[in-house]
Amino acid sequence: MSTILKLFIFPAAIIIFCLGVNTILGGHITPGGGFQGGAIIAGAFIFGAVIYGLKDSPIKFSHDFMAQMESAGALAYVFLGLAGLIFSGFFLYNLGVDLYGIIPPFIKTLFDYPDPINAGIIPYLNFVVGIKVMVGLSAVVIAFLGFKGEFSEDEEEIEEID
Amino acid sequence: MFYAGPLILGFLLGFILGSRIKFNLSSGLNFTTGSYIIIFIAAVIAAYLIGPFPYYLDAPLASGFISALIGIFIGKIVLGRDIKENKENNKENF
Amino acid sequence: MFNGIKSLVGLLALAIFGITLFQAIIGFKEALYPGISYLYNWIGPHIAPNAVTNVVFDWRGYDTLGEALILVTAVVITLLIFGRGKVQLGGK
Repeated sequence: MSTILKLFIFPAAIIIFCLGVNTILGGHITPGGGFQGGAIIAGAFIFGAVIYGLKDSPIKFSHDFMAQMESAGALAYVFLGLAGLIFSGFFLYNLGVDLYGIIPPFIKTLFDYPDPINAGIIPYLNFVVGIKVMVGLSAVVIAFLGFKGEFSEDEEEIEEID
Repeated sequence: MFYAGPLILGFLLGFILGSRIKFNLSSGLNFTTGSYIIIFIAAVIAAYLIGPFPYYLDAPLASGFISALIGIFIGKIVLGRDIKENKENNKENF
Repeated sequence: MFNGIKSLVGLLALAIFGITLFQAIIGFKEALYPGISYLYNWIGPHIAPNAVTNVVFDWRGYDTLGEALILVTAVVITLLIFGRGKVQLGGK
């Protein structure tokens, strides 16, 4: 890849990271949310991996990191649901916005997102899903980029013809 | 810049991402400190042009954007290491 | 002779099944009642301005849990097929 690309891609990847975080955090007001913001962050990582190559890229997602983040994301979603089950009788009950009026007020202020908009636990769910999606999509692309299978044999045959 | 929700969650996500920036010293990539200052200025200009979310009345720029940027820089300084070459190769050169 | 009786029994079963299906379709519109969705459409804007996020994460949050589970399964299966040399699974 040319020099201009190598000079430009790392700052651009940082700014696209910040744009993805902004999309995740505004999931309950603007279009966006967890899935979309996670795809944007994965796009920035794939940008760096394609231009620099997997070994020289400044942004490295190791296998342990990806396994831990994916498990943490899915487990945190389930734990938020279990918290709703414990404090009220319903799984994934929105503890910040108490529609039925059945939980004491200190739990309601504990789980509310500090915001002019009373959205409850919806931003926390967006955050958790965003982490899960960004790591999952990057894992698939890393598996495809590092795959050395049948393609190397075809390249040898083409060189022999020349 | 005064609502605690976007500040804390944006900083946390930026810190997780910044801890994964590691430069490989055997490749020719080297970004000086001046380039990071230019990245910061460009990101502040982008945050001002994006604008705040609706119903947010605290600051004229996007607070999640800035807190993610600060999280990335602090994560890189605290937890990001540079990958050095093997020490055996250095001994052979000497 | 048995072929005739088999076809008669088959015809009778088809008639009963067809009559039951059509009897459920006639008068379908009066049987529909939206239920609690009227109430949620009125309360929704008080929770968050984005109606899509309200429905996906609050009214139908359980389905989003299933969606996340699908993503995990897809990533695991892809890494199983294409991950030779990157993941040590043990064995020989």
